[in-house]
Amino acid sequence: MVATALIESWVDFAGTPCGILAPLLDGLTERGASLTYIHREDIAVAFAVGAHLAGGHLCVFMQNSGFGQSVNVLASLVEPCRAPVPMIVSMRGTGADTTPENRGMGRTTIPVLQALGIPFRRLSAEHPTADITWLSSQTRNTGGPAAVLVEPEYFGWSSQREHQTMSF
Amino acid sequence: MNIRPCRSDVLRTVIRLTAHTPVVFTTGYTSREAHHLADRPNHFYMTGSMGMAGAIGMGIAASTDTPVVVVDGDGALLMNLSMLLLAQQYPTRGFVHLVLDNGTFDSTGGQPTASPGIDLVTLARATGYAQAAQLTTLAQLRDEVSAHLARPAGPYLAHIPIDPTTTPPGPRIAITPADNLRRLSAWISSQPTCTPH
Repeated sequence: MVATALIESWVDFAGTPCGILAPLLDGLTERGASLTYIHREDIAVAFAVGAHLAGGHLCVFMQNSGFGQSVNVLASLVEPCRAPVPMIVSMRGTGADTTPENRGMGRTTIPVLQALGIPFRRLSAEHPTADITWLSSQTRNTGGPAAVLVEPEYFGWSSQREHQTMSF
Repeated sequence: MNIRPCRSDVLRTVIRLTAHTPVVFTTGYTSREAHHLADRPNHFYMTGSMGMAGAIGMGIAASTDTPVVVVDGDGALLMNLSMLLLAQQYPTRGFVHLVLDNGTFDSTGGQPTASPGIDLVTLARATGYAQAAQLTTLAQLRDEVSAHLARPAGPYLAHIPIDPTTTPPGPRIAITPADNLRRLSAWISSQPTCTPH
């Protein structure tokens, strides 16, 4: 359902993979989406600004460690340019993810989004299609970035099994 | 002894050749001097996000059929070498990546970069650029850029050693980043050759 909603809103997808998002990325691939794995998240964000300049419709995905990597490009390119960059960000270091190396970004992601003035919401179990539609309309209507946050449990992630294959 | 061209002569040459091409200028003095020499609607001055000019340019190139020129610097490219990987991930025909190399971080006071020890032409070939070359004269620059804009044949990188003498870049850029983005976006959509894919 989430993959279908994404494909209905955007033509291209680019970003860096994450175990939490792996089932979603598999879903996009199975549905034939144009998806490219870029080796650094901030490069994907700057690429999305270029795609927007040329009339493209691209959604960026990353885990929140990559959001940390992207803070400067968001602050010094995307925000001042008011570039409509939609982001799907998985939330390592929150909820079921108690791994010590991810705690810092788990605590930091939302305060940084707030400090940058980037609107965000959590991907809900009840209305995921509405959340994706919100991301699309938020970026297109306001002409700025926005993020949908994906909690570790959403697609069945657990620290015991980093990548679980699920149908959804 | 070979005399390296200076930054302003290189920028003048590039601007003259790119009246019908989107151009992304890297942060710092390169953007400021380009803006000072000629402010055109096909220009994007990347005032922040050092290291990302190539990624923005590739985003444009991958979404249109038009060639795109990126004017990068040695310090900025070396800050973000993984950007080079986009050339094999998005093997766009018209991506022209010009790297002006003065061996210094000119905009921050002329501190040395690692570029004297780095072979950018080999790096570009190894990471997926279809062609890469070192250009040492303005005539070579003019001929190569003209040829790649007229007959785009895959991502191209030119390493251009320039005079390291620092020169005044002109005033800070007057157009806001948001207006600059809107202006270039409108310019691209008005170009008959810049059809989105």
